[in-house]
Amino acid sequence: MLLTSVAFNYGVGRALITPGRSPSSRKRWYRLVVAANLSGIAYFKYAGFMGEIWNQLVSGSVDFRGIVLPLAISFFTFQQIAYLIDVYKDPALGERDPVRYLLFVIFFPQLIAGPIVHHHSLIPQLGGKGNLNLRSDNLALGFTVFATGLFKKSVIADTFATQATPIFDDAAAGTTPDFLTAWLATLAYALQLYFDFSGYSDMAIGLGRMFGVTLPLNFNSPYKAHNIADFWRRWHMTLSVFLRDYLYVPLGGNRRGPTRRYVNLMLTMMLGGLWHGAGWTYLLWGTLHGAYLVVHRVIANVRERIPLRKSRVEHGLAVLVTYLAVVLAWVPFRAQNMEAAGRIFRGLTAAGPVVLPAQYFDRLQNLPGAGPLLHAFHVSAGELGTLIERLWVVVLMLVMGHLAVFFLPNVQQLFHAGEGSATSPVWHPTRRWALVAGVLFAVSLAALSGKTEFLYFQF
Amino acid sequence: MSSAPLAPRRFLAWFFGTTLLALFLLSRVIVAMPMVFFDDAYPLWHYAKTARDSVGSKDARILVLGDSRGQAGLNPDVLGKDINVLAVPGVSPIELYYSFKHYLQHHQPPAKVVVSLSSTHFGFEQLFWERAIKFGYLDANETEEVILTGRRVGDQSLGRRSATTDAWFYRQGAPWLYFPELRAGVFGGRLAKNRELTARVAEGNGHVAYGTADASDGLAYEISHSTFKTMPATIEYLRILISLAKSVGARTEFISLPLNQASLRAMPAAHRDGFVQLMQQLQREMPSFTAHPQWPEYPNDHFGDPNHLNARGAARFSAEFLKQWSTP
Repeated sequence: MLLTSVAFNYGVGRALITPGRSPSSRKRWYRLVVAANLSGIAYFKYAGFMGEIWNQLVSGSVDFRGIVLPLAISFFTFQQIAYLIDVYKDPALGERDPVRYLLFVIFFPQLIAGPIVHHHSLIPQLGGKGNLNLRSDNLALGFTVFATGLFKKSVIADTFATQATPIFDDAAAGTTPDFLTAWLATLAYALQLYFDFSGYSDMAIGLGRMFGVTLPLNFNSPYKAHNIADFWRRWHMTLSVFLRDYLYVPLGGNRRGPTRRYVNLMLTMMLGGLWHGAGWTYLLWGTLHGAYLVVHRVIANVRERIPLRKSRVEHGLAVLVTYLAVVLAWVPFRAQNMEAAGRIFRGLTAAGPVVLPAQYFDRLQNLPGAGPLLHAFHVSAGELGTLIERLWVVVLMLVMGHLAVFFLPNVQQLFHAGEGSATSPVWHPTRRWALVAGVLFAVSLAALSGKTEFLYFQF
Repeated sequence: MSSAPLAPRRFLAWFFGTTLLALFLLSRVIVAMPMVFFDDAYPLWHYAKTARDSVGSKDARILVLGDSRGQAGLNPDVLGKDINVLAVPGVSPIELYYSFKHYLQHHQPPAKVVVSLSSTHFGFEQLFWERAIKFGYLDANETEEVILTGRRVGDQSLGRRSATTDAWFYRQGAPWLYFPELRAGVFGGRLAKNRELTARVAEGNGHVAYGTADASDGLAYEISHSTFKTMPATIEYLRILISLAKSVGARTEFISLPLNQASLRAMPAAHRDGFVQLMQQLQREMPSFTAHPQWPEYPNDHFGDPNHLNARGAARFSAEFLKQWSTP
């Protein structure tokens, strides 16, 4: 499937850059190839969802469950669509060497879960003299970054998964979590996804570096964002750029007035949601982010007219509000279906029971003035959801995870000069780093045995 | 610690050296501190291992070899001095054979061996690796013996080509084989719970109440198995166990512990028939073996959970056991 896709797109790409071809012929080829790519992804990724909608609308019995979703189809399809759009606009950007084109698409560090690499940044690196050769300085940096990423994924993210997964599974099975459990699970999932994706991005960059290839940044402490637009400049950065350049801007971007701009934002984010997965939950997630961006834009427009200096407190509050908005949107993103998401939301809003383990409830009740407060909020003693056996351990884990997320430097800051640049390493191999990275790598290797999944693989 | 830059090659040597050393140290921690991270099955296996190997513990005319149902359903206080119960949760006939073999090294041979196992324990390979091997119930030679037996009888799982290597890594405490438990142990506070359970099981002479509910109408494990699955090695080990008992002059009987009404009604016919047929076949093959595979039916209020008798059920079953099975 992958090789067919590469061969097809390379062939059409060559047709687009063949000198003397008429504009109408180029346009036909261009339309054909984009349509073919979109049809492929529509069939493999969205046929099941479309069938489900069709069945609901006409009470039909269309069943596409037998279709197997090829791994990484979204990544390699959209990477090539981007290439073809650029080549259509500017034939000089076309790649003639089939081997380099093949390497561009199947370069394994980024194939499965990104970053979505732009051809103009990757292809020249694959063709340079001495590139892809193993050099000890690249290996030293590459292994250190890779070990850090692997530790984030297999140890930290998967540990948070042990707290979040059972609660979301219970919600899918029909249980509405209590208030505390719902929040613990949702925050645990927010950290799981953060360390999962952050770890994966580090691993991709580390692996690329081992071969002397610099991959673009994809993750830049997104939970430190002070507004939702800032979040999208930090989270899955290459997808954000892709959506902006190949969806938002062609839709008209902000060039056709505020109303159209808001519509474009909503559409872009809804399609971005569907890019992550075919289902109502992903659509809701994208819609929420679209709405967030619209609200942010409206507020930003007002603030542009009334320039105010942001205090540190205001900045902190902005980060907190942004984080909470993102966390709430993760609920449908993680939930197996809309009903499960609804149950988690009911738990989060205290529409379900509000309970505390008996030992904490008793202690709190004995505090002066706490009794009436517990009564006012209908808090009672009871058992928390599945697996949340030791509340203080879970809370401690969450606190440590959030401290790391909000206050520790990210891998980019540790290993490279300045944000936004992945090309000038300031990191030096020292014995201390070798020991730290070696221990992280050992623990990560040990952790690989457990049943884990790379969350971003399914997208 | 020096923060002076190293040559990249030296850095890589330090990096991989540290990785190997850390993995080695982690494996030593795993081997040395199982009580810290294993789940609550470990103290029960540890107790059984100690009981089977302890010189000077009581000799008895009847030895019961069983699984968690036996642990919950047979109360040593009711059974008295003539009956020894050596029950381990999640065992197959393989571990029962080695329990018996070790037992004979430290005790007088019994006149009768009673084997009681859930029918699901005849075909669950993971039990062997995740329990017997991880918990060190079998030593290296015994493990190799199991693997060779597996190969001899064509057992694709236990006799697989990588089994010897796998067993070696398990014995060395290879961290990647134990990480889920390590993680759960660190965050789950298992040491305190395991210590408490160790004390409780010793106090009860091996008797453990798994379910403490007043009643259970839940469905037993068997119900989720539409067919009766076996592994050639488990059946072979039941034969070997029966032969070993015969060689010391003991008869072997197989009994099933009670299930509740809901479970018996929902029991898949293919599973039940397959199990009964196997027992009948073994009975025909081996004259020193008698099988009673049919599950007695007890009311719901005799069960502490869907699989195990509660105190009321244990009292009744122990009394019935004394009456029915205590004659050599």
